Amino acid sequence: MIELRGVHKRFGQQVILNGVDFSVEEGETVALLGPSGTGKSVLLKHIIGLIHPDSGTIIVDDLNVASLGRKELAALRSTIGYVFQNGALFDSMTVFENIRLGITDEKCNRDASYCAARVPECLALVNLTPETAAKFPAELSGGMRKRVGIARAIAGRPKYLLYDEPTSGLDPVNADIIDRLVKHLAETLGVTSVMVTHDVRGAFRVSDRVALLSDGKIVLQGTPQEFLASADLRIKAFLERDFDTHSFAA
Amino acid sequence: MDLHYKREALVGSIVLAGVAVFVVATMWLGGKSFGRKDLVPVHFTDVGNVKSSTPVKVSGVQVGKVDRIAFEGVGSVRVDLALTEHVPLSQDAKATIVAIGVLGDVEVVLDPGTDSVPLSPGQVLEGTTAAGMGGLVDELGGQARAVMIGAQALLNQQTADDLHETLKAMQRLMSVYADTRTGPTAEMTRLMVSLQGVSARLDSTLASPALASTMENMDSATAGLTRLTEQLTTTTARMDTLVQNMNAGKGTMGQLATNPALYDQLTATMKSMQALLDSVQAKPGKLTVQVKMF
Amino acid sequence: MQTAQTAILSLPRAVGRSAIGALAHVGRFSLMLAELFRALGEWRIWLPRTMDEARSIGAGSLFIVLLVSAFAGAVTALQTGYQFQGNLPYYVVGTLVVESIVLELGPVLTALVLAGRIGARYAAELGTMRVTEQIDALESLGRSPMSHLIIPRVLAGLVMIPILTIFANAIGVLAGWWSAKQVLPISNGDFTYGAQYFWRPFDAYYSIIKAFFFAGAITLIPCYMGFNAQQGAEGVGKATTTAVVATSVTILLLDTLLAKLLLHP
Ligand SMILES: Nc1ncnc2c1ncn2[C@@H]1O[C@H](COP(=O)(O)OP(=O)(O)O)[C@@H](O)[C@H]1O
Ligand SMILES: [Mg+2]
Repeated sequence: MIELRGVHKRFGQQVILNGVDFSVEEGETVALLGPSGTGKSVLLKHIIGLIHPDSGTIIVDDLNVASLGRKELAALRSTIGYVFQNGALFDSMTVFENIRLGITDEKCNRDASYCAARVPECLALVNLTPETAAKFPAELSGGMRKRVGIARAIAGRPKYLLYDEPTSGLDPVNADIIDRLVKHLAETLGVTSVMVTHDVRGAFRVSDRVALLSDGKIVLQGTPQEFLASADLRIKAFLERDFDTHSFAA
Repeated sequence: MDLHYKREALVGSIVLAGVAVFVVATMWLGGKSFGRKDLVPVHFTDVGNVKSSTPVKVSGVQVGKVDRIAFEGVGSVRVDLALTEHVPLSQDAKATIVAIGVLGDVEVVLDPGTDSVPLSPGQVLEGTTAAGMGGLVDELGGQARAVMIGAQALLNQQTADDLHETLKAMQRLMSVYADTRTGPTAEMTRLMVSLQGVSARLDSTLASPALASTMENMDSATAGLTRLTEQLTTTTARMDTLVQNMNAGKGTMGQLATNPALYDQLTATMKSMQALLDSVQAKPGKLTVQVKMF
Repeated sequence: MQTAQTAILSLPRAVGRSAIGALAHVGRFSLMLAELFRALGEWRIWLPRTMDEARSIGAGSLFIVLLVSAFAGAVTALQTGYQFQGNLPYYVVGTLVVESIVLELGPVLTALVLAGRIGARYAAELGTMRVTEQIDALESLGRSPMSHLIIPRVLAGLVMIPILTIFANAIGVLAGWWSAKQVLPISNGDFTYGAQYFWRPFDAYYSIIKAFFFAGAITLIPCYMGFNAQQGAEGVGKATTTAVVATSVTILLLDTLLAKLLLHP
């Protein structure tokens, strides 16, 4: 269970989050929508304590993230898989080593045979061949890097998965694969997920609930049906624009 | 895994090579060397500028180095000489600290001795300090003072003139030295101050009317003249050693050896002194002094 | 007129801001050091990575360091020989080459070269990792950037830079020796005599102590700069240049400070 209450965050004079209330129930998948630059990534980073709020509380697994000590925070983080917007792969390491770092359990991580089995498994989940393991991130296409990022996030069998725009920049085939993977992981492993996305269709297909972040606040958090039925102009504008562009692209 | 070992081995070898270079280089710079060496302990009352790595010579050939200097008490210093060459030492072997330059360099001259009984291992030799450059300067001053006293007994105008020439040469030598751009070292400066004092005194003696009067009583002054001649001889010999050292390029004297003006002045001084001695020697009368020249 | 006035009025504020900025740097730097020490327990993580960094420093910088110090040694010998020709005995060249290389040129030139080579690389690497969220990614995996990124770099530097300095000293002296023999009638014996005559064992330790402090500056400052790089490629560039400048200045400051503290206590 993830819960943000009254979270404020500014960078210098720039107010990014202005009292955000946001919650994700156990086993639920929530899509976080919003125009770019509104602070979706900032919100997501608050959840794993990479950014500390100016005020407000963030509760994950009944733990107040901002007040955790080093060890507890590390322990909490190892139960959360974070998929970064641009992959954030360690470019001095091969794909294998990248994914291996995602195996957060120290015992498993040191077990070479476990890793040798687990890494291709994770690669297969994101539709990548085992040969990819030997490559360096620089040798991969943008979409492949993104998928390796997902593979790294899931390698440690996390309880929570936070996806930062996992499908943006992917071709439709792979975007579908990722969407299905998100759904699959949520259903089969009971992972609680937050997916930041632009892709309204994907969001609606995958998620149990959808939230829209705009002007530093969550405008609405509800089921896709509630979303479509909403009379809020910002929601209407966002949905229309996004559906338009996507129908064009498709 | 193999890859890891290779990488660690590379790092390890670089580190070990560095440590090895460090150890070998500091040993070399500290004057230590590997290999067999004989340790000869010597007892000195004062070691002056001796330090570990000071060369040890036998017959002018370096046979080893000072290894360790241990302070045993006031006026008692034990110095271990590490000889890399095998030198058979006798019971009467001697070690002498000899100054070899004006920068304060010294060496230990080892005289293996002639006694048929060899030195027993571990036996401590008694060491002495030769009158080095510092002592030489003092002695030179003393000799010159004696010269001045003897000069009062001078009877021969020619000799007086020669003496005067000598003084002039000395003064020129000094004026070259006074040029501090050549940066005379402390000991050279001491030598010069001493010479200056002598020169001033000799000058005033020659100028005094008393000298003129003594010159008329040449015969009665033979004894004094003899003494003067002896003293002049030793003084000159000392200066000669100085010049020879310079010529030999004994390191620190290089400044003299390579400074032509200074060298010329010094040589002129010596020539002048020699002329003085010659004239004293050639003087008719009961003078039987054997003047040993260089 | 008005702009001048506002400029004057805003001056105290600007000074105050930069003072606070400097204090913040000191504070953040100290916090980083504290975290660094705390993370030393995770040796399983940093040890293999330290090996990697050490190999990269050692093998990667050996050639340039030796090249620079060889030239430094040669120039010292040639200029000493020229300057003292006819005034001082030749063996003084041996003394001056050894003492200037070991006490000053070896450690300082090595450090300055490495500030450009290793310092810039560390700042750029960590800065890139910061702006491409790789550091965030590491933290998101519950891993410490200290034990994964900073400690290996700092430790590798602390071990390898003194080692490189030893090599630099050795090559500098040998190059000086060789060049002295090319232009002066100096024998090996003379050079050795001069080298050994004024040598004190502390000189060697002093050289290593200096290298050790320089290594601290060369690794810690760029790591700090890179680690706290601002967004974007511009941030990385700024972190890198600032790191190299700050490191070089720190090296010279440390050089003076250590000479005062250790040679004239
Ligand atoms: N560490 C930071 N320092 C300063 N500003 C930041 C930082 N992170 C994000 N921002 C700013 O916050 C705003 C929101 O960024 P972000 O959360 O990445 O937007 P998005 O919703 O597209 O993910 C942007 O204007 C960005 O410049
Ligand atoms: Mg974003």
